[in-house]
Amino acid sequence: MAIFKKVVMMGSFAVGKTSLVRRFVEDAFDDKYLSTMGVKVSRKPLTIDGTALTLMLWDISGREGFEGLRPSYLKGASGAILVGDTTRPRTFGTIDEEVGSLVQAVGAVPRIMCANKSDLAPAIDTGAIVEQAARLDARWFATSARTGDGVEEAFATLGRALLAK
Amino acid sequence: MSREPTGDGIGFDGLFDELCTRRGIGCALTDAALVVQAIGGARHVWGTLSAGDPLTDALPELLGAEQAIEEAVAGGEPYVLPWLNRTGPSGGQRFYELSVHVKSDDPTVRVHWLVDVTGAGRLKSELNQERNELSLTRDALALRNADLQLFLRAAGHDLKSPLRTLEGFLGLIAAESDSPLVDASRSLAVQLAELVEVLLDYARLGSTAIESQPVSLSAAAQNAVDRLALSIAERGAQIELPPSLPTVLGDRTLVGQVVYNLLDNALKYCPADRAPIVRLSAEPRIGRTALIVEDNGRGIPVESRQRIFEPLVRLGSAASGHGFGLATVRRCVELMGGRVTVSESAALGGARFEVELPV
Ligand SMILES: Nc1nc2c(ncn2[C@@H]2O[C@H](COP(=O)(O)OP(=O)(O)OP(=O)(O)O)[C@@H](O)[C@H]2O)c(=O)[nH]1
Ligand SMILES: [Mg+2]
Repeated sequence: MAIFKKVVMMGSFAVGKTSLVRRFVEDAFDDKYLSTMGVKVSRKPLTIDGTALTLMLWDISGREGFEGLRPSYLKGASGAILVGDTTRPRTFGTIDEEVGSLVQAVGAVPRIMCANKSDLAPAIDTGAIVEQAARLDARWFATSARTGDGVEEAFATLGRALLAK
Repeated sequence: MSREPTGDGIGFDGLFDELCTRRGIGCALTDAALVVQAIGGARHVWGTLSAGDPLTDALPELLGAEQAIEEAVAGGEPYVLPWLNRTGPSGGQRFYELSVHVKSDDPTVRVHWLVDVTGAGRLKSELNQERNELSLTRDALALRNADLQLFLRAAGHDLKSPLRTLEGFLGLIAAESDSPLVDASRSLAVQLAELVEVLLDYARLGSTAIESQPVSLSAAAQNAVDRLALSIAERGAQIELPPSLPTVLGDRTLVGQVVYNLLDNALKYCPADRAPIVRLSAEPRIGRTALIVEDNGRGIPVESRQRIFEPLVRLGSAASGHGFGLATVRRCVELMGGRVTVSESAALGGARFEVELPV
């Protein structure tokens, strides 16, 4: 039987949640910023160590303006991808709050952290990211939705963690 | 596509179907395994779905939501998903709100309502986009500002230390030479160092957060008079302070700089043929207080009254001005949400500066 897992993309607005999903699912990228309103679900079938797994990727609007709606979007999530924008250090602060809502909604599910836009000059120290990822119990990846760097690896790592659970 | 009522016949009759369609409501009946029993309304939502298909084909949002739905139909919190975002057949975005109930007379039958909220969704979406873009611009500006501050600090240091060395060398030379050029060079070096200091102070204005709190104009004025005591004595100036001045809302340091610079300015630019007179007073304005500083100097010609607040602008040939005094005043006042204007003093014949600050 096919295994479906719901994975939520979390993070502040414009960090690249939609772009990461688009890169992973369609292998495409768009420079234009079109903020996601509400939630958009994409499927991505994977085979991990011989097991078929379909990720249901929930691309949710950045929390700004949608705080109250989050619990209903998070329900039933098996895992989360926490996204921060390395050119905007503030967006990593948001991730702590995101993990708070996640744990409150579905408990301590597997999660990874993407330090996204690695193709651009960073405005945050790697040390700070390493420390935060450890504190949030998440493996972290430097990703670029633009070039695709690190994207497959990040999603696959979460997929593997979801199967192991 | 079958939209005929099937299963237990809850009745998607023509009228109901019509209502659903017209009001943009789609409704599906499913069993516990989310297999469609009947479907009606809002054709654009359900697409090619028909009875017997898994509902999750049309609503992948339901995958993973099984437990939440179980809870909802077992009488727990209703399962509601707002703002489902879909690309419509013509490429435009459509928005739906999904909610799950259980049929009142048959709890094994789940009813999934999908309400078309595209109108509201598009509005919210536009607002969202604008707010986010604005935020991004603000973040980018803040970052650029931070870069600039770093640059200034580095440049300031790099400018000041050779100047200090130069001053020192000139001092040594002065000890061995009595050429007037050496003294002149020394005083130029001192002046340059001061200018660098003033320039950096000006550039740093506003780089730290402003804390608005009640600030006493009397205290600020007294403080400025104390700091300028030497110039006041030297020029035989008369500073007229009223017994009390009101309190404004602002930043103590910035208010202090405003009053100090206005007084300093009045003293500096007063012609040598008279003893300076500077009068401070206050007038109420709607939601604000105006601090008024008048003097008996030459005044500011009408055509220069805008330019005078720009950095490095000096009128006439005043001896010791750096050209940052009034620019600093304006910058401080604007940082506190106020404004400053200049006109002619009817009482004293010189300039009349009016600083409006929130109260
Ligand atoms: N250079 C670069 N730009 C990226 C990258 N990822 C995303 N972007 C750009 O960043 C902007 C925001 O990306 P989105 O994917 O829309 O961000 P989001 O997190 O989905 O934003 P919301 O939907 O508003 O919450 C877009 O202009 C993207 O083109 C990346 O890895 N590198
Ligand atoms: Mg998005």
